[in-house]
Amino acid sequence: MILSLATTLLGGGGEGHGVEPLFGWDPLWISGVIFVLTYGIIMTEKYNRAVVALLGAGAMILFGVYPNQTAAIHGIDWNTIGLLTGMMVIVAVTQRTGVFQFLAIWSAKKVNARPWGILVMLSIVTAVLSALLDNVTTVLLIAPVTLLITEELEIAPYPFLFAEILFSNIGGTATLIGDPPNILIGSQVETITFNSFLTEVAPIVPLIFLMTLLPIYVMWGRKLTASDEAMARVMNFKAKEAITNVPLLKKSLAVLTFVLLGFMVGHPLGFEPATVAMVGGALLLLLDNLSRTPEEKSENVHHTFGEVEWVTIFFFVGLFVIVHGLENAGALDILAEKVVGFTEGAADSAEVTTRLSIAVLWVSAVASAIVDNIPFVATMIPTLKTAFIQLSEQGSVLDLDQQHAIWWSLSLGACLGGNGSLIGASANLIVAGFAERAGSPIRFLTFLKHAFPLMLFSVAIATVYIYLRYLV
Amino acid sequence: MTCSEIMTSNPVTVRDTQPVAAATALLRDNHFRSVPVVDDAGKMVGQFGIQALLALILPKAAVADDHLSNLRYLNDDLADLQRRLVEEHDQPVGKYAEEVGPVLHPDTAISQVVFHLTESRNNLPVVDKDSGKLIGMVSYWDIIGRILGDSK
Repeated sequence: MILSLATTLLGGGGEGHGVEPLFGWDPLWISGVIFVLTYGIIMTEKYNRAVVALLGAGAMILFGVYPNQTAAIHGIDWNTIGLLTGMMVIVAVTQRTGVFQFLAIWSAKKVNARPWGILVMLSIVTAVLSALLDNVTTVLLIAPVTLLITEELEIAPYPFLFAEILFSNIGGTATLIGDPPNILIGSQVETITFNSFLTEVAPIVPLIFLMTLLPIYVMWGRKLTASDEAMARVMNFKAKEAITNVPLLKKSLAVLTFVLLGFMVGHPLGFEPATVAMVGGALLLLLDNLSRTPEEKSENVHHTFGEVEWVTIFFFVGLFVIVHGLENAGALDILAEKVVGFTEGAADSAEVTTRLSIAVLWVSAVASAIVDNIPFVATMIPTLKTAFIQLSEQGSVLDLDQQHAIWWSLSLGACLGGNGSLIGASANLIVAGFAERAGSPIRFLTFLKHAFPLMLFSVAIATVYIYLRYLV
Repeated sequence: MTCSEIMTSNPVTVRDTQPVAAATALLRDNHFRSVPVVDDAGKMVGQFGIQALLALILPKAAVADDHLSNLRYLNDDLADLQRRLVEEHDQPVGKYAEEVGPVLHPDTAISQVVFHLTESRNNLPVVDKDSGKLIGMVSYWDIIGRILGDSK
């Protein structure tokens, strides 16, 4: 009733103090309206997405979609939050060593500063780092050095930044930690592990990389030239000088290795990725501060925590509460029924899997090009889980392999789809921001014209892969 | 006491359409830290100072954001720095005019002027509220000189 708002505000949100939906409205409708409003406002990009998501989450509690605050908190996937935060701490410390600038400059010099060679090398570095760290952090570190190198070469940075956007999303597709949609899938689907991504998704990534590089060569690569004088300037860079703190670099690489190994061997031992990442982050903070005074330690840790991307973290927190609210109210059951309806008339579970895999792959790709792929995947995961249950109730029981084929389709579609437009993924917007500040803005429509066909091409390759590997 | 009583009227300015080279010469010849940039109508559009000038002799990517933590690997010599500055010589200085921070008005109280000066590294412009035209500048020494009893 009307008292629900007051009850919640006055502290009725604890466990055991259940509140009724406001005005007795149907929670299904309330949650649906809050969901649509929140996602709609996020899409306008007029307001900070974390603030909008948190307000949406608050509305879910205040309007009585949840019986209490505790129920809402149950919706937050702490594995995702812990994994993201831990990795952000590790990267925040590691980047102070200058290793990322070193890698970019070293790779440029390896190809004698020839522009096309640099583009290929920076694309490889971006893809590999995106797979091992995360793609947002990678472009944050590689794009500024790229702008510096292209400025010294006196050539337009657009083809380089374009390639880095595409390959950050393609590289990130390969691992559980590489791209936020994969983190969500890896955290929320119990049977999927870090190693599953390595064996099931990663194998197709090198082919997609090469097949995407080809059109980039045709469009720009063959015409990229720089004067001997300009190339000599880049060759004059002293890559080793970019490393500012060798002891910290050794500690960072040791911890990164430990964390990556932890992801691989942790699951059979019962350790979730969040545990591994948070322990790694804390360990690196400890090692980074061993020789400092207590005051310096406090200041340094404070500074490192300040570099965690809290906007992303709080965005996830808000999203989880919103989507779980939708799930609790039964709205995702309806969405799942639509998904199940799509399989109507299928002869057997194999045909159901085929239909769902292809549909999920393409719908995810196109949707992720239009809206942020994070909220899309956050909604799709519980929807698909519900759809699997509904299917089994109707006699079409999908086995684990069949379910996984659909999860890999979601991963490939959402991650690759992010390449479709400048707003498709967080990494795209970060690179665009850098380019604008450096005086070489990336236009929305220009990027769309070049990127959307390449995105469709990569999804077509993924479709063939999914079909040949899982559906025949 | 108000700002109008301590400001220096008719300050030296550069027009936003003048080339960077002219503004650079003005800074160097007068050992100014910054110079106000005005448009055709005399309205303040920003300031061009030593920080902006130094930024012009580095790669744009190095000063566009804070993600390049150092430039030790650049291995530049004076000719490189000179090349970058020469490339910008003919550009209009208005392109590189920076925000001035707090803007004073003739009736701004003197304590408020001192408060703003403690936070600023540069002299502060005094702007007419209605027209937006630059009518004077206030420096640290305008204030200190008056406190110490120097004649204006």
